[in-house]
Amino acid sequence: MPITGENLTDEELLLRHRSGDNSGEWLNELFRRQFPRVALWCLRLTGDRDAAAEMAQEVIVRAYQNLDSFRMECRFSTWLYSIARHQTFNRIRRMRGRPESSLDDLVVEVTRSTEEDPLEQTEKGLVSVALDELIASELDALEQKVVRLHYYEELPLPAITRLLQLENQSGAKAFLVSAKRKLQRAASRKDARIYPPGAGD
Amino acid sequence: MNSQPPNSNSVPPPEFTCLSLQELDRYVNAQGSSEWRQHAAAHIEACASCLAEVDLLREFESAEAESHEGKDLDWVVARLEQRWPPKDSPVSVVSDAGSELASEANAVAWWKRLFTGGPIAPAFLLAAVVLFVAAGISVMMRSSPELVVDPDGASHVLRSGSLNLISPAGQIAEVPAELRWEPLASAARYRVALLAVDGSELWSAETADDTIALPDAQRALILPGRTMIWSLRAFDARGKAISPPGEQEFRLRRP
Repeated sequence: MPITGENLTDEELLLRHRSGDNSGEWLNELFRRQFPRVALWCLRLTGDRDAAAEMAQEVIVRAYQNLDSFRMECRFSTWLYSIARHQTFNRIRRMRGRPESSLDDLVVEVTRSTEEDPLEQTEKGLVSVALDELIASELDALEQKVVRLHYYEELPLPAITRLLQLENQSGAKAFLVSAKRKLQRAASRKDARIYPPGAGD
Repeated sequence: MNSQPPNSNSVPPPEFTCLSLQELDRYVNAQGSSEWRQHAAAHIEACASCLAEVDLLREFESAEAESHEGKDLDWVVARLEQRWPPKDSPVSVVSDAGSELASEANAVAWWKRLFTGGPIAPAFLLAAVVLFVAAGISVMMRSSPELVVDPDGASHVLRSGSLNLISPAGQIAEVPAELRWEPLASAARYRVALLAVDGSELWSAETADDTIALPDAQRALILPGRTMIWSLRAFDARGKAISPPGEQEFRLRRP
């Protein structure tokens, strides 16, 4: 059976391209395979096919221009994912402008039920550490993802709803409300006994 | 990530670190020893960040469109097909300042040629006005924001807030010896990092100054044609971040 691009893995295509075969056949097949992945990712983030096409083109071009820097320490699709993620998240933040909420906002909201002044806690740097622990221990998987993407990656809620394919009526917002409620209850139960790692044992 | 047994508590012990890109890849593709996978799974279960990354990577790789997405997906893929392969110096709003300026100059020259001399020029002018108005209406009606083009091409600050990342920026002729930015009055120190094109951090450091020298080891990573990114964040005297992180792309020109 003749060897065609379709029979080869992404990494095999790249190796053949790098081995000196400059016909372009291998590179064409490699990148064309990635178009649906990148396109769907961008479509879900933007919710608009024109914006998605522009964004996807930037990702493809970025990968193409910097192909030499891919050292095959992981699969090609994983490397492409990291480029797409970094570039598209930055682009979404730029398009949105000022973030809807910051991590500091979440910290204040979670600790407002405790006795200690939440702003003092924030300045001490204690609450940020405890917040990661609360998120991991109190929230279910989906709530964790929504909180992570909204407060840490600063993505807007509609983009998160599409990216995670949430089908409930309020989308990501409902999970965010639920998550904040759980975090507040947990912070209140702990009664502000929030220590940095190693302290208070 | 180390290989100690998973902690019995839901929170991983401090010595566990989040999965690198290679480890993420290994886990998602069911590689690595069973012992390693057990440790990785325990970490992922207790780490919201890694949990999100694993799921996002799986979603990206599967590319399974819902029925309502099929038509738009096909449309976007068709656009990518039309534009393949990209030019060596593609027109991209956040990568190549030189080629952007060249493209803009060519576009202006093309329009100029239409408008100079003869009876045809007024007709073209009228047509251009009509098209311009129609495009303007189309822009206003679109729900998604337009691409923002940096007219002077001197810097492409991806996300800065009040930070101004001065150099290196855009196309550069030499490997930079330092990173330089405009100081913020309320900043006590800055955290600066050098990133690869996929966002992975190659190096980071902190300083109270408005400039920092790049170590030789990091300068050696800056190769011709390779897009690099440097990021900056400012902190006050208490260690609180006083700005969102800023990023700046640059690329060493090929000889």
